[in-house]
Amino acid sequence: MFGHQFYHESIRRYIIMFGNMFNDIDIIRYNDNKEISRVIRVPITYGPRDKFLSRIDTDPDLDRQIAIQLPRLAFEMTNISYDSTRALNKLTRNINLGESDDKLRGQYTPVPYNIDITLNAMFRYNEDAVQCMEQILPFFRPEWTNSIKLVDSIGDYYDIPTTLNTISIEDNYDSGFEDRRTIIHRMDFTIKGYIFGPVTNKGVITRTIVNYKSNTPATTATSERDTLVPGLLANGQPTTDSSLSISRDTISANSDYGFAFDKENFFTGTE
Amino acid sequence: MPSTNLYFNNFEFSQEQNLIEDLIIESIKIYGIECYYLPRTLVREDELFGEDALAKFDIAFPIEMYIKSIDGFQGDGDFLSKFGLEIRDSMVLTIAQRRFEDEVHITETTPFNEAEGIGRPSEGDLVYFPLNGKIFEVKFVEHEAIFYQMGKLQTYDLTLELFEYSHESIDTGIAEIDAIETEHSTEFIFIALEGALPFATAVATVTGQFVTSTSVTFGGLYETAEFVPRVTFSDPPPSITAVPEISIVNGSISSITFSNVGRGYVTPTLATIEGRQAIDGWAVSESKFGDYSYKLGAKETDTLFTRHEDVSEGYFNFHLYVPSGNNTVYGKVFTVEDTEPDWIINVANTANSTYSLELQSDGTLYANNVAKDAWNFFSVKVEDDSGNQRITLFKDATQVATSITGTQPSNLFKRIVNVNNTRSGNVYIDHLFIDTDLSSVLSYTNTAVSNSGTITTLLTFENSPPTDPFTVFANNVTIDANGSINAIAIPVVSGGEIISANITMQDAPTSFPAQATATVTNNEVVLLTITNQGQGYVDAPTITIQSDSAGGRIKLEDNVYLIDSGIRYANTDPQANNTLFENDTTSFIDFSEFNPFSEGDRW
Repeated sequence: MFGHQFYHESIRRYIIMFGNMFNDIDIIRYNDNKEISRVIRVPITYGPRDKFLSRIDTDPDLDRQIAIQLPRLAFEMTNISYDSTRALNKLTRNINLGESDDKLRGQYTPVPYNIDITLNAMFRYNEDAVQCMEQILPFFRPEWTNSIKLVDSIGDYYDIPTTLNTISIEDNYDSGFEDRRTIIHRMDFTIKGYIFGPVTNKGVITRTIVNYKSNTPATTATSERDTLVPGLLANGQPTTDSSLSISRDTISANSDYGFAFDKENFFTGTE
Repeated sequence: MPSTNLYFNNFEFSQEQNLIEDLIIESIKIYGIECYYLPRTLVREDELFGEDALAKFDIAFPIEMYIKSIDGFQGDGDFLSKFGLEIRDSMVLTIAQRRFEDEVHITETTPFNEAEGIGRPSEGDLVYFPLNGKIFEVKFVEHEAIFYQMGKLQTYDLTLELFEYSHESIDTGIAEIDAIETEHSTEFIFIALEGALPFATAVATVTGQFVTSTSVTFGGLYETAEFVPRVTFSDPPPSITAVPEISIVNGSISSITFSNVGRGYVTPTLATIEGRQAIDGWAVSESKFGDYSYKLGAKETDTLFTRHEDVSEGYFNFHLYVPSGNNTVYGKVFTVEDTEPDWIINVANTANSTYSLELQSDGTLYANNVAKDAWNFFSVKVEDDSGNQRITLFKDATQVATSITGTQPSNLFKRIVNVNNTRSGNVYIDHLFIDTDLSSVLSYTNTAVSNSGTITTLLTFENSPPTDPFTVFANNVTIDANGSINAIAIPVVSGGEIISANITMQDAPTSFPAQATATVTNNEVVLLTITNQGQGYVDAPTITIQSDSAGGRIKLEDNVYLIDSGIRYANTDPQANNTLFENDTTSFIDFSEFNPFSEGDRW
């Protein structure tokens, strides 16, 4: 768009980050002696998926013996909305080293977006339900913050809070015997994330020259010239003396260079 | 008289009912299909949530059922829910009631862990439908689908829905059914690998239920630095509480025996004897007329009652029993103490074979040679003889001693004091009788004796004696090497004779295994130090010494370990993304900061 093609997988990462928070929930069933009888790893799924793949994955031979396997978690992204309260200066750029030493990657500050995610948990037994919920809820006060790297080429880690907004419980036990009973706990979360624009590669400025002229017009002779270049000795030590420095073309952006400032006056002569 | 037509019996004719039922069963056998019926076994019912997450299905009964849903499965069919693929097939099967009762015994029907099941198909049970090899759950049992045909119900209609598996245990022994658990459970399975390095062995010595010493028989090989193998002793047999039995004869404890000598007792062991005893003075061991008599003890102060009235004429009777064990019986039964010398009736065991009645210097009236182990009826008569009192002794209505006439005593019955057997043993008295009304003048010093109204027969003792509860503890209990009871010394029970008693043993202490620590020197276990001797061992326990932690791995030839011990393994749900979320996040989530609930190195 606008001449840029980019994909940082930011939203995908938010989804994976969200799933990662709930991917190791175990439900333990105890016997009468309070000893562990069963340890059940609760499966978690990103709900929206292709129907044919779901069928192929789950029931390829059309002989699946059961209706569904419980308990299980599933979540889905339900909404993305701009969050103006977290807006940053639009002109600030994040930079990092580019593909080569003479290049820098740059990116404007990201755009804050709230990503709403609904986590549904389905159970057969209430005991499983409350045990699962007890393992989730204490971590969200009301948010849990992950530190994630959203753009690999920039490499910065962002603290992304995930806020638990609401919880609702559906248990339609009060119906006829022939009606299905489902216990579903629904939790609505908001990920306070950022969406990033394109990363640009630009050359590194290795020399700045400022010419001072005492009067207009522009054709007036220069009276002073300030030159700033990186200074690096051959042994890798920084220097502020440009005459001792190696060529600025050979100084990498990643080197420990100094700043060599040269000031030239032309009051006594001409440029 | 019934209100319906007498000549038509449409609802109570059992032969017709049985015929209909036979036809239905035969029809189902012809047109039905053999399914498996799996009753639900409740393991740990949660009374709060009204569910049992540990429910299991461990038996399957083949039984024919008729497919009522002839047009195919009902329900929502296959669809993609937010939780993935769901299959909501449902159907109705019909089963004959009698066939169900024949095949599934009532104790094997749900709830199954109770003494008796409900004896019918239950909601929550499972049915294996062989045509598609799927498991259905019974959602509803309709027992009146065919409405009282010939006055009886013959079938159940089972409304079934494809089973929502939630990690119930299914272990019927039928592979097709048990596959549900193995294929769909995400339960963790721990794989513990056998140790590759040899572990040490040791034997234990037991003395009197306790592990008193150990001896290492093989040191094993322990290569891991600072690894201390865990030492485990096999459990001792459970302790058993002894069951004693107590026997009461003639008012005292005669023996304490055991129907179960128990096991696991340690010294000291306590037995508690509780019961009721007659208050001191009353006897249950010998009786003349009723169940009880009065026992005159060996105390001179054993006063039955006291009378305060002068009587110059009259008589009193009493029945006396002297046990044979009392070889020398010489005691005062009745005496008059107000004036000296007293008149006393003594019961003596002398060489004299005759009864005599004489006034001794102390005023003793002798009745010698009282028959032992038998009741003797004595009567002492006092009468006025021309201004003097004459005393005569009768035994069994026969005068056995010469009458004595004298000036003393002038008030024979002024005070009747039971002072008996000052030398040894007890004697018993019953049916004391005085021929005058003493009700207003008697002062009972023994509160257990009471009378009212006109008293001629003072004491009959035919009613139940007053009793008191008693408790004594027998702590002189001897046990053998296994902690079984050898004997209990009969404790002394003070007070009156015992009427009834019950003995209970202290619970045998719970047995528990011994504990020890191992000492490794030069890669071998050289010593086991007992830290707890355990309790309750009958035989020497088995000692298990943990193998080196390095042993629980598969080691390749190049000394690379292939698999660590005790890996956790869980089935993967085909729709689950747990692993994806685990793996994909490692590249972009910073886990360097632990969560606030973390422990150690676990994030």
